[in-house]
Amino acid sequence: MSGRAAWLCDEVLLVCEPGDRGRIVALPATDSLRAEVAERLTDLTTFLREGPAGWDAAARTQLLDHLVSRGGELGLSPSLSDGLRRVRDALRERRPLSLPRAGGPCLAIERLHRIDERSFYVRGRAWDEAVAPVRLTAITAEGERVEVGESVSPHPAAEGGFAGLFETSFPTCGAEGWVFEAAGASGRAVEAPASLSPDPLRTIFADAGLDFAGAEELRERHLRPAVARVNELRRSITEIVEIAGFGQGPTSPAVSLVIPLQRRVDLIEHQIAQFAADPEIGECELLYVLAEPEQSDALGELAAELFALYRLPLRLATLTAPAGLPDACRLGATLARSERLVFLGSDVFPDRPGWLQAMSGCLDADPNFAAAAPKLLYADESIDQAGLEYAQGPAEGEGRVHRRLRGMHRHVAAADDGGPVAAVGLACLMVDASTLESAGGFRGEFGLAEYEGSDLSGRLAAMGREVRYVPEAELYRLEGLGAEPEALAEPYARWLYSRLWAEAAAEVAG
Amino acid sequence: MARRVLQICHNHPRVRPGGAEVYAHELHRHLRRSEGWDPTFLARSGPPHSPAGAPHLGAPISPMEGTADEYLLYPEDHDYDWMFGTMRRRKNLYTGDLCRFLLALRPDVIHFQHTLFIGYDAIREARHTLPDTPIVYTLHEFLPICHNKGQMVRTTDRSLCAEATPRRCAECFPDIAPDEFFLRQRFIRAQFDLVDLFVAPSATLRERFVEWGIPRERILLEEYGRAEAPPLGGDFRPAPHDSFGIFGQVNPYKGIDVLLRAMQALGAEAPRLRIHGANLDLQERSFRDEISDLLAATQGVTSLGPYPPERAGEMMAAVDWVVVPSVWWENSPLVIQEAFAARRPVICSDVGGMAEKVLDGVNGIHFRVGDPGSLAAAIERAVSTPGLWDRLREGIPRVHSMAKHAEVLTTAYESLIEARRAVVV
Repeated sequence: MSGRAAWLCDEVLLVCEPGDRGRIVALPATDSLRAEVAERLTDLTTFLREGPAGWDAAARTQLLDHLVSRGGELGLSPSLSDGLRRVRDALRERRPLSLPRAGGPCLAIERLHRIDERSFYVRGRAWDEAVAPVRLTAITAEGERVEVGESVSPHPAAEGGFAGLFETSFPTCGAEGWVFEAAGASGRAVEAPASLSPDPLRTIFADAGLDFAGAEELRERHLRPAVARVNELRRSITEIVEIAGFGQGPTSPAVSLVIPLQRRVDLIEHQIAQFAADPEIGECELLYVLAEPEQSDALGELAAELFALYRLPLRLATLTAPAGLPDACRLGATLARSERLVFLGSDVFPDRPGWLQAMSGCLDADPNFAAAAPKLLYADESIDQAGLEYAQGPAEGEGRVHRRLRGMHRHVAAADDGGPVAAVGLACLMVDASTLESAGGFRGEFGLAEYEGSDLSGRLAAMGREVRYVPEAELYRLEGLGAEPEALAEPYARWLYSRLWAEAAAEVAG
Repeated sequence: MARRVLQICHNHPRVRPGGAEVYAHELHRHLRRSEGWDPTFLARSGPPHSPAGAPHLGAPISPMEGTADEYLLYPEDHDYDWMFGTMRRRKNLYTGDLCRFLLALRPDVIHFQHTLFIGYDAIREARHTLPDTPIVYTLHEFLPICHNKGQMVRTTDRSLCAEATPRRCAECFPDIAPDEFFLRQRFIRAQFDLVDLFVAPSATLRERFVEWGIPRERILLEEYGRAEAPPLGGDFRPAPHDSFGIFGQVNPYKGIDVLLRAMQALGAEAPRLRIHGANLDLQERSFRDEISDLLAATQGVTSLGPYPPERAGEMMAAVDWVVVPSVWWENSPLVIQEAFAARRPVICSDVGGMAEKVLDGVNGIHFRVGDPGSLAAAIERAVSTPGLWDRLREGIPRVHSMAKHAEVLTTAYESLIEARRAVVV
C-alpha cells in the first residue's frame, strides 16, 4: 500500500505516504504529482481495500474527517463530492437501518432542506422506547459528521419529533447521500438515509404555524434564522441581469409602475389590455420585473408582441434568480425614472382610469402623507381590502394584520371614507422613492405582501408620517389567478411581525 | 368614388356552411352589386373548418379562388385560446398579417362579422392601423359572454342560463377559477370598447349584451337581411298538412334529439319528418352516437343531409311545417327567415330569438323548450286542427330583404364615417 495513489476525482489524487501505516493525503493533481505517481496509480476501490479499509474504526473516522476538511480547502466540486462519498461509503462505520418497532432506537427523517451553503433545516423523529436518544448525528454525503442533538428543538408532529437548524463545518453539495444516526441510551445506534427536499420555506412556514409548548423556541432559535438566511442568500445572488425596452416611454414619467411578475407571467397581457384604455398610463413608466428567470425567453417574445399590438411602451427587467415580492419590488425600484413609485401586483387590474390621479392627489395634498393605497376589490364586487388594520392574533400579545372591510360590498358607506389607515399592503402601494429610502425600504423577511407593507407602514408611522386609504381609486385584485396561497406563510409573518414590533416598543419604552 | 367596406368573418360559407357566414356572404354579394360600395370579404380558413393551409408560403392572406374581392386568412398555426378569444403566441397575425392587409386595402369601414378563431385583438389592430376608420361588429350569439360556445346553456344540466357571472361560469367549468372568467370579460370588453357600433339581429341578443355592459346606444337592432329568392311555384299545399322538416346545423343545442323523442312519443301517429342537417361530423362522438341511436329507433324519418343555402326554399316547400326545436336561446335563426320566405309556419321553442321572431298562433306554434311531450302535442295540434296551417300561413310576415338591410347598414356606415371624420377634424 505504501506509496500507492488513486484518483479521488478528476482534480484530486489520494496518495499514501511511505511508512508502516502510511498517512493518506488528498492533493491537487498537479503535473508534477501526476508524473510522480504515474507508476504507482491504482483504482480507488483497490486503494481503499488494500489500505484504510483494514484500519480500526477510529482511524477510519479520523481519515474521513481529514478528507472532508481537505475537500473544503481544495474547493468542493461535484466530482470531488462524488469521490469523497465513495470513500465515505467504503470506510464509515455502518449502523443498522432504523426499522420501526424493532426495539431500541428508531429514526426517521421527514424533511431535510438546504438553507445556505452550510446551513440545513431538518425535521424528523427519533425515539427509543419513549426516551429521547442520547445522540443524533448528521453525516453529509462527503462524510462530515455533525452532532445535531443539541441543536434541534422538539417538534410536536409525533412522539420524539425534532426540528431545527444546524450547520456543517465544511461545504457539502448534492441532494442525495445524507445519513442520520441516532444512538439510544443503551448505546445501540441506528441510521436512516436522507436527501434534500426542495422549497425550505414551505416546511418552515408550516412549522411556524404549529401551536405547542415549544413553539416559541422553535421559531426563535431555528425558523427565524433560517428564513433570514434563505432571504439573505436569495438577495446575495439576485440582481438584474437584463433590461429589455419595448418602445419609448416618457422621459420624465409622472409615476413609475413597478410590477413584479411571478408564476402567471401571462397576466401581463391582461394588465396591458386594461392599461391601454387609461390615458394616465401613457404618462407613466411601466416597469415589469420578472422574478422567475426561467420564463425570460417566453416573456421577452410576448412583451415584444404585446408592445406591437397595444403600442404601450414598457421595460422588462429580468432577475438572475427567483426572488420574493419585496426583493423584486426593491430591484425594480432601482430602475425607476420617476420619484413617485407604484408597486403593483401582476394580478391587480384597474376598474377604470383615474386611479393614479386619485392616489397622486392624495400624496400631494399634504407633505406628511407618505404612502397611499386604493380600494382593492374581488371579482364579485366585494372588498378585498380598504387599507389594513391590526387585530388581536390567536396568541396572547400577537397582532394580526387584517384587511379592512374585507368581504363587504364595494359601495358600503364605510368604504367611501378615505383617510389615514393603520397600514397599507404591497398589492398596490404608491410611495415616493425618497420616502421609501428614508424608511429603510422593504424588510423582505415576512413572505407576505401585507406584512411587508404593514412593516413599512409601521416605520413610516414611527417617523411621524401617515399612510392613507384612497377610496376613489378602485382596482381588482384577483387572488384566484394562481397566487401563492397566503395561509401557509401567514402564521410566520404574524409571529415575526409581532416579535419585531414588540422589540421596537420595548426599545422605545426602555 | 365608392366607399370600401371590409367584412371580416371567422369562416367562408364555401369552406363550411353556417348561419352567420352565409348571411355575411350574402351581404357581401349584395354590396358588390350596389352602387357606391366596394366590398371585400376576408374569411378565416384552416383548422378546424378546413385542413387546407395557405397556398403561398409567407402569404397567410390569399384571394379565394375565382374572386377579386374575397380573401382567405390562414393563421400559421392553430394557436387559438378559446377562453380569451386570442392567439396565445402568434400576435403577429394581427400586428403583421392583418396590419399589412388593412394598409393595402384601406377600407372606409371595417365590419367584423365574427372573430371566432381570429381573436378579439383583431379589433385593436384595426383601430391602431386605421384610427379614422369606423369599426362595426355584428353579434351573432353570446360567445363574448359565455365560454360554453356562446350558447348560454349550463354545462351542469343543459338548462338555459340567463346571467353570466364569474361564479356561475366557474360552476359550468369547475377547472377554471372564477377570477379567470372575470378576466375574460374584462379582456373582451377592453377590445369591444374600440368598436363604434354593434349590430344585434334580435332584441333578445341586444338586451343580453346591454346587461353585460355594452351601452344600449351603441347597439343597432337590425334583423338579418336575406337575399331575395325567386318566387316559389306551388308553395301552397293541400291538406293534410302532415309533413315536417328540420333544417340547419346539427349540434347538441339545436334540439334534434328533442324532436326525435317527440316523434317517438307520437308512435304510430307520428307524421313524416325530413331532416336536412349539416356538420354532425364536427360534433363529439357521444352526441353522434346518441343521434344515430335515436334515428334508428324513430319511424317516418328521412335523413337527407346538408343542403346548399340557395336551395333552402325548395327544400322547405317540400314540407308543411318547419320545426326549430333549439335548446339554447338562439339569436335570429336564418332558418326561420327561410321558412317564412317559403311561406311555411314554424313550430319552435318558446324562448329567446325563436319566440321573438315566431308569434305563437299568428305564424307558428310555440312549445316548451327542451320538452319532447310539449313538442309532440304541438305537432299533433298542427296536424289535426283544420284550417290551422292556412291561418298561420296568412300571418307570415315578409322577410326582411337584403336590399333594405343593406340600406340600413350603409346608412349607419355613412354616419360613422362622418362621425369619425368630425373627430379627426
